Amino acid sequence: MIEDDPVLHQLYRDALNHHNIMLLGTITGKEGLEKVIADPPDLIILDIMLPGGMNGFDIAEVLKKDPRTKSIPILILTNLDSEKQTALSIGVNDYLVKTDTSMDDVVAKVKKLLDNK
Amino acid sequence: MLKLSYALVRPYIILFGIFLLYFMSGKFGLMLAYIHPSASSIWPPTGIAIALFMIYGYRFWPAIFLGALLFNLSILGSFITSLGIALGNTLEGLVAVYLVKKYAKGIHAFERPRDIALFALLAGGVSTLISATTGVTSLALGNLVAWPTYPIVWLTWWLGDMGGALIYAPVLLLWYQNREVHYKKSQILELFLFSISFLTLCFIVFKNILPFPYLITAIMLWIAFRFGSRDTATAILVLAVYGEMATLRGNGPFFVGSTDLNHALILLQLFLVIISTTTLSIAAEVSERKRAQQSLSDREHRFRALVEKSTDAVTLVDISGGILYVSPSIQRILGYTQAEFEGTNGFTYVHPDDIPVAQKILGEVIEKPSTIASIELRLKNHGGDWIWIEAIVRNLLHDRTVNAVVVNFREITERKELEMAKNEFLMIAAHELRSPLAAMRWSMELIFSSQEKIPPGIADKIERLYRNNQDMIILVNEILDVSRIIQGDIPNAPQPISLETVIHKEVTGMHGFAKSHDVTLRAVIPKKKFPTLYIDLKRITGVIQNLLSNAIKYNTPQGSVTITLSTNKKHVRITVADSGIGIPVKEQDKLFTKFFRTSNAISRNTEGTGLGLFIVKSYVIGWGGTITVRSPTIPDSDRGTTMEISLPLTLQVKRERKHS
Repeated sequence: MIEDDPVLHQLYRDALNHHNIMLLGTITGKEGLEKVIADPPDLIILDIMLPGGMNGFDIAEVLKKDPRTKSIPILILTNLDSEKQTALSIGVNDYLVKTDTSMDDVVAKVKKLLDNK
Repeated sequence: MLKLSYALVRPYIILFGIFLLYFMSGKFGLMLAYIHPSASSIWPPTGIAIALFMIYGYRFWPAIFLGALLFNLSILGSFITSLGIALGNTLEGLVAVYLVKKYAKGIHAFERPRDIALFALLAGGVSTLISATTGVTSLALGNLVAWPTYPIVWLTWWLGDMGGALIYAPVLLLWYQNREVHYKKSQILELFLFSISFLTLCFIVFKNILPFPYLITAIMLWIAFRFGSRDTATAILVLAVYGEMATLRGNGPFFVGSTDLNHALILLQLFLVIISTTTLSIAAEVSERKRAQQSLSDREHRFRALVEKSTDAVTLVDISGGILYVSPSIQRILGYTQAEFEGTNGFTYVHPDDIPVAQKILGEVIEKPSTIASIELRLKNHGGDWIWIEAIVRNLLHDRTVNAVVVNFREITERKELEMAKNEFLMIAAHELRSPLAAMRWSMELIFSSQEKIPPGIADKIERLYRNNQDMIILVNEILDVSRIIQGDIPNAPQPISLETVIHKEVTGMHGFAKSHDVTLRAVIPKKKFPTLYIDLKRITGVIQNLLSNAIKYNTPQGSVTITLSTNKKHVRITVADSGIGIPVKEQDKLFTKFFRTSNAISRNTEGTGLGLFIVKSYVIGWGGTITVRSPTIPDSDRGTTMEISLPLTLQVKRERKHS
């Protein structure tokens, strides 16, 4: 999970642990990108508005172009509700707006993306 | 002290002045008649009395009376006769002024031909009857005139007074009203040329070189047309004195068919009376026209200054947006010169994003005469930057003098940038609020889904937190929607929509919410095929949700909400009718404005942001539709509201032909 709000890391770590999914988190985009390339995960939960000069779109674009990471599903979980089209055009696999989605929905989406892999 | 004593003596000075003037004018009149004392010529004192009464008022009559008395006494010697004549002279002046003030605009009698004619009739013809009658009768009674000559002496007297009234009074009154003598250099030259020609002509006519009085009439037109009433009256006076002196010497064109001086003098006086009245009328007419022209050009100048010096730019455009005129302020606002801007089409300066709305407004304004609309849009300035302007568009096509659409505009870039910055701040803040709101929501969801048992006292408190969290999420969503509407950036991802499906889905989804408010919710959708519209699903869903949730929230227990779908040839209509608290009629037009909540909604303490209907209306208008409200709808009560949305069938999906 690349997300600048540490509270959300904790929340999803708790929620996903129940389903035997281990969540690793980074705060900035750059750091996240390095981590993904060094040790590719099964799924990336990505925020759009991120500190450190790289936003979610930048990261998704890099990952979807890189043959090593291109097959990793990306789920965007953001505050922006008007960027779905942009995100999908980059190749992002799903797009959810934080406040419009329940915890169960997010977990369901994560599981679905992992199963499809 | 000195001033006070002057104020006290002033009337006596005037009194004495009038007396002296009147007395001297009599002597002057007599001087002209010295060759033949019995034939009285034009009588200046009559005109002087009229002028003095007009200027100083009736109360100075003793001066006139005394002047006349002493003057007549000095020639006639008989006190009683002089008394009679003086009485007649005084009364003549008073009556003349009274009548002229009443019927011919008083001192302003020489400004219009109609008043001049009335002055000639009343002061020249009527009031002089008094003096002639009392005067000649007094002379006859004093045996100074033989009764058989009464009629001819009376006529001479009457005509003499008439001449005095029509020649001396106008000169004095016009000079009194307009004492300033300042001519332009060219006018001085012209006046000099006129005087030379005039005197030469007088000489030619009265020396019988060319004994035709109409020659004089011709030259009088010159001064009447070019120099106005006062100078015309002066020229008439000169003519009168000249003509009289010549005639008394036995010269001039008026000795026609007889050498009788009296006869010639009567003809001269008639001539003078006619020439005085006509040329003064012409002069008045000419100056009236000049005044009217001046006031028209003053007014035009004033309006031109208003338009040209205004900080707003004023443009006249034709129905296609072509610029017919622009005021000079365009240079200050956009940097173009008038010449650069005129003749071009206004739309070429409009920002591409603003062209549709600008065309729409112009079209609407053109459709109906006298309509006014305002619009904010961006124009490209001379340097290529976008400038925000606010324009007022007005249809004056039917006004034959304008025959254009008038567009006034001013720059509002600064205000607009501030508004945008404010709006942007609002959007950032709203977006940022979503993370903590989501964190709260998910935390509570985790608590509910955890296996641990929650103490009963805590569960309902978390429940309440959860509801508040939901309300805040809705508020944030609405703030974002409003911000986007203000920014003119409404998300639009049209897709084929079946309204029946959307309505059924929302009615089902809101069932629980309706039940919690003890309200029955039902949909009435005729079993038929409704047209498929091509619109943004999220937004149409939001619109229907909003109307339904309002109808439920502002309802009464055991109330009902009915949503109906219907269609005609041009529109599809969604109607939401409730049995709720109603909306006061006077609040209905404010219903769709931002942050407005009806008084009865506030008093009922119902949750609400006052943003929902603003959003709904903005979306509906964006689709080219209309939204109307009717309330109350329940007979004999102030309850029940019906909201009706009408969407044009132009939103229908055009069936795409499949090419095989």
